[in-house]
Amino acid sequence: MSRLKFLKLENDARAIIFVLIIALLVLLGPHIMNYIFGAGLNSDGSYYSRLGKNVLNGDLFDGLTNRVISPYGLPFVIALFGLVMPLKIASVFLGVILGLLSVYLFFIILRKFKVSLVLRIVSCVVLVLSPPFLYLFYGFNKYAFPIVLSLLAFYFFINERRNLFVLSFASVGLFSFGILFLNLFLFFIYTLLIKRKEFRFFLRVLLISLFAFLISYIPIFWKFGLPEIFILDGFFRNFISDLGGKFGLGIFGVLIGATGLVFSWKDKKNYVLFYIGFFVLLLLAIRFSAVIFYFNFLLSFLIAIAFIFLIKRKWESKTIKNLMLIVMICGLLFSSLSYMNRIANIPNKEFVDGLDFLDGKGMVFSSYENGFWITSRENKVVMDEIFWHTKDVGERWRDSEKLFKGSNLENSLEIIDRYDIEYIFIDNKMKTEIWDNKKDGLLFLLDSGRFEKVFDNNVVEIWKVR
Amino acid sequence: MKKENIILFAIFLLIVALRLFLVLQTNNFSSDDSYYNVRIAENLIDKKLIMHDVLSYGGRDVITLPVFHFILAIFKLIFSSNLVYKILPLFLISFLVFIVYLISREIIKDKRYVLLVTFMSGFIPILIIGILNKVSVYALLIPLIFLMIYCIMNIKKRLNLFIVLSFILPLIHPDAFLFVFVLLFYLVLIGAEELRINKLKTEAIVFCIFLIFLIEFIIFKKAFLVNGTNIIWQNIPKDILSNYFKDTSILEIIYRVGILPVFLGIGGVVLSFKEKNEKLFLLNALILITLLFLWLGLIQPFVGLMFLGVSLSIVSVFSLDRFFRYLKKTKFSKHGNLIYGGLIFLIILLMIVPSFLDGKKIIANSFSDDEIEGIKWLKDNTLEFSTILADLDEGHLISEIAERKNIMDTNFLLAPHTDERYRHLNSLFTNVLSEEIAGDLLSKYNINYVYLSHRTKLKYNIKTLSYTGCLRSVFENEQVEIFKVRERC
Repeated sequence: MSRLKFLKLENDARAIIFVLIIALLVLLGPHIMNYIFGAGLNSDGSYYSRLGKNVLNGDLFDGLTNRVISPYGLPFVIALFGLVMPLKIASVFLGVILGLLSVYLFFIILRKFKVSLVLRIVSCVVLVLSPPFLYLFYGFNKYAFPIVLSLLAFYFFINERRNLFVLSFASVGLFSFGILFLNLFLFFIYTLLIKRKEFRFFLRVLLISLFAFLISYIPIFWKFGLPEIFILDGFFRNFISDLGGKFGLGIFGVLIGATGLVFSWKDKKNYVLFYIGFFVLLLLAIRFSAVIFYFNFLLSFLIAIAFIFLIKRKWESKTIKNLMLIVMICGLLFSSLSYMNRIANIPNKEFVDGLDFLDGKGMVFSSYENGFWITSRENKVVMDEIFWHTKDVGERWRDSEKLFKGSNLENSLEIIDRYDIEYIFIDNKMKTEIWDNKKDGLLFLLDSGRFEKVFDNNVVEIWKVR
Repeated sequence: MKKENIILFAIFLLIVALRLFLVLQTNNFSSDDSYYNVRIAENLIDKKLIMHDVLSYGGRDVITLPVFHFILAIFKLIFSSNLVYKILPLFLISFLVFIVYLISREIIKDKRYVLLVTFMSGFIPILIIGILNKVSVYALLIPLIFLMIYCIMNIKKRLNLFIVLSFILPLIHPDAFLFVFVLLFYLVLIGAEELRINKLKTEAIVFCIFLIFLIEFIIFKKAFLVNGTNIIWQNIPKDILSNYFKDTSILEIIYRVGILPVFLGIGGVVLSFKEKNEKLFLLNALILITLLFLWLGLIQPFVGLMFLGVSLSIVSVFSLDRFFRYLKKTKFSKHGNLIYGGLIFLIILLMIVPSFLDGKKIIANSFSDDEIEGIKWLKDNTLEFSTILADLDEGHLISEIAERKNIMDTNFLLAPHTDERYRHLNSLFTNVLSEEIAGDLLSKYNINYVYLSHRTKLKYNIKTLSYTGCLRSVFENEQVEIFKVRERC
C-alpha cells in the first residue's frame, strides 16, 4: 500500500486512470510501430474493412470470395464507423476503445470479487502487456467485440442484472457463433458444477440466445446453405505466441502464472470458482484457440498473484529478490515487445507495394494466409483464411497444395485453368515455408516460359500467367 | 602446500598429460563440429559474429551462443597460435577434477576417498573420448554446470559466483535447459522427501531457472517461432533422428562411463536416498534427469553419458565412505589400505587403459592430412561462390577450410528443409539414383563440385559415384576424390 501511496494510486479512481493510461500507451504501441515501419493494415483489418464497405453499400454477399457475410456484426459496426471517419483511423480507434473497455471491465469485475487494489492494478497491467490482448485489440479483430460483450455479460451476471446480462450475452452471437456457443457451454458448466439452482435461468438464456441467433442467420442459411466445415486448427496451434502461435500466451506469462498457481494454492478455498474456470478454460484452449482470450484474463490474475507474493515474501537475499523481479518483468516485456514487433510490421512496406501493384487485377493465387490482403485490393483468390461458406474448400486446399509442390507443368496448368488464375503472388515467407529453393515445385515451373514476372522487389514476386 | 593439494595437482597434470599426448599425435581435429567452432572464433577475432552464414546450406540464418567462442578468440589473440584450439578445450575439461574435488569435499570430509573419486573422474572413458581432440563447447559447459552445483551446495559463501554463472551458462549452449530441469527435479525430490533446505538455496534456484529461460528465449526467439515445440528435436532430419538420439543400453553406459563409477555411483544414489542426505540430492537429480533424457531421446547419448559419468563418480564418494566405514567394523579393517590400493589398480585397469586405447582410436579417426589437402585444393582451385557436395559430417570442413558453400552440415537449427536435403544428400551418395535424377538434384542445389572422401565411401559402402556422366575428376589423392559437375549431364 505504501508503494500505491507513493504513486498516489490508493483509491480506485486514480488506480483505474493509471491502468487505462498504461493500456492506452500499450495499445497505441503497435500502431506507432506500424506507422514507423510504413507497414499496412493487418490481415483481419484489411478483410473486415472491405466487408464494411460492402455493408455500407447494402450488400451482404461478398462477390470476391463468393461468400455470404456472416456473422455480420463486425462489418456492420465498421460500416457505421466508416460513415464518420476513414477506415484506417476507425481500426485504431475501435481497437483502442474496446481494449480500454475490456481493461476497465476486468478491473471492476476483480473489484466485485473483493480482490485487493494492488492485485487488481498488477493484474490489469499484466493483462495489457499480454500478447493475446495485443492481438485482440490491434485494429479490427473478429474476436474483440464478442470478448468485450462476454466480459460485460459476466459483469452484469455477477451484479445480478439479469436483463442486461441476457441482452449482452445474446448479442455476442451477432459477432461470433463460436464465442456464443463457448459462452453457453461455460454457463452450462457453471450451473452444473456450482449453482444448479441457476439451471432454469441457463435454459432461458440458451433459448433466447438460440432464438436471436436463428433470427439473425436463418435467412442467410436459407439462401446460401449450411457452411462447409473445414478445420485447419491443430492442438496447441496457437497456445504460446513465443512458439509461433498467432495470438497465444507469452511463454513467460505461462511460467510466472504457474508459479502464481502454486502460491495461490495456500488459499485454495477462496479460489474454487477461479480454479474451476482456469482448468476448464485450459482444457478448452488446447483445442480451441479462441478460448485463449478468456484464459488470458485468468492467467493475468495468477501472474499478479505471483508478483505480489514475491514482493511481499521475506527474502534471504535482496540481490536475488531484485534480480528475480527484473527477470520476471523482462520476461513479460520480452513476450510483449517481440509480439508487438511481430504484428506491427505485418504486412511490411514492400509487401504492401506488391499488393498495390495487384490492385483489381483479377484472380490471384497465393498462400491462403495472404488471402485477406489480396482481396482487400479487389482481387479474387483461390483461398483465404475463412473456410466456412467457401465453396469446395477441401478441394481448393488440395489443389493449392498440388500447385505449390507439384513440378509437372501440365498438371499445374490444369489447376491454373480450373480456377482462372491470372496472377501468382509469392512472398519471402512463402519461399521459406513452402519451398526449399528456387528449383522446387511452383518456383521451378515459373521459369518454364508460361509465366512472366511482372513485379519483384525482393520481398514479393508477382507472376502473370501467359 | 598441503599433501592433498599436491596429489590433486598431480592428478590434474596426469590427465592433462594423457590428453596432450593423444591430441598432439595429429594436426587435425577429430570432429567436423570443431571446424565450425574454430570458424566462429576466427570470425570473432575479425570482430564479426555470424548471424547469417552464407556458406552453410548455401546461405541461412544461424544462432550463435558466443561465450565459448569468445574465450577461444581471446586466447587465440593472446597466443597467436592455432594450437590454442587444441589445448584450451583440453585444459578447460581437465579443470573439472578441481570442481569434482570441491563437490566431493562438500559431501564427505575424508580426503582419501575424495582424492580417489577425483582421480576416477579424470579418466571416465566417455569424458576422454567425447571431447578429445575436438573444439567442443562441452569442455566449458560440463565444468561450469558442476561448478554451479558446487555453488548451490555452498550457496551462502558462493552466492555471487552462482549469480554470475547463471548469467553465463545460457550463453554457452542450449543444453543449459538440462540444468533447468535438474533444478526443478531437485525441488521436487526435496519436496517429496519432505526435507528442509535453506531459503537462500531455493531463492537462488528459482532465480536461475527463470533467468536461463529468459536468456534462452531471447536468443532462440526466432528458432522458437519457426519450430515451435519441435525445437526439442533441433530441426534434425527425421531420418537421422533415430541415430542421433539412439537408445543407450545399460551395457553401453557401463562401458562408456566405467564400471566403477556406475556401480559405486548407483550405490551412492541408493544410500543417499536411504539416509536422506540432502547434499547429494542435486547430483541425484542430475543423474535421474540425464537418464530420463537419454531414455526419451532428448539429449545426445555422448553428452548425457558425460554428465552421467561425472555425477556418478562424485556420488561414488558417498558409497566409498560408507563402505570403508562398514569395513572398519569387520575383521577386514586392517586390509583397508590394501583395498584402497586395489581400487586405484582397478581405476587404472578399467578406466585409464580403456580411455587411452579409445583415445588412440579417436585420434586415428581424425581428419587426415590427405583429406585436409583435398579441402585446401577446393579453396585454391574453385570459384569463391562454388557449392560443394560433401557428406553431412564434412559440411563444416567445407565451410571452414575450403571457405565454400556446403549443401548441408550438422548445424540444423534454422536450416532450410533439412529432411528433404538429407534425403537428397543421402541418395546422391548411395548410388540409388539414375544419372538423370542425380543430374537434376545436382542442378537443383547448384552443386559445382563433389568431395568424396575415403570415410564417406566407407560410410555409404560405395567405391565411387554411379553418375559419372555428370562428373569429371579434377583431384585425387589416397583418401579423397574431387569431381567437377559437368554443365550438362
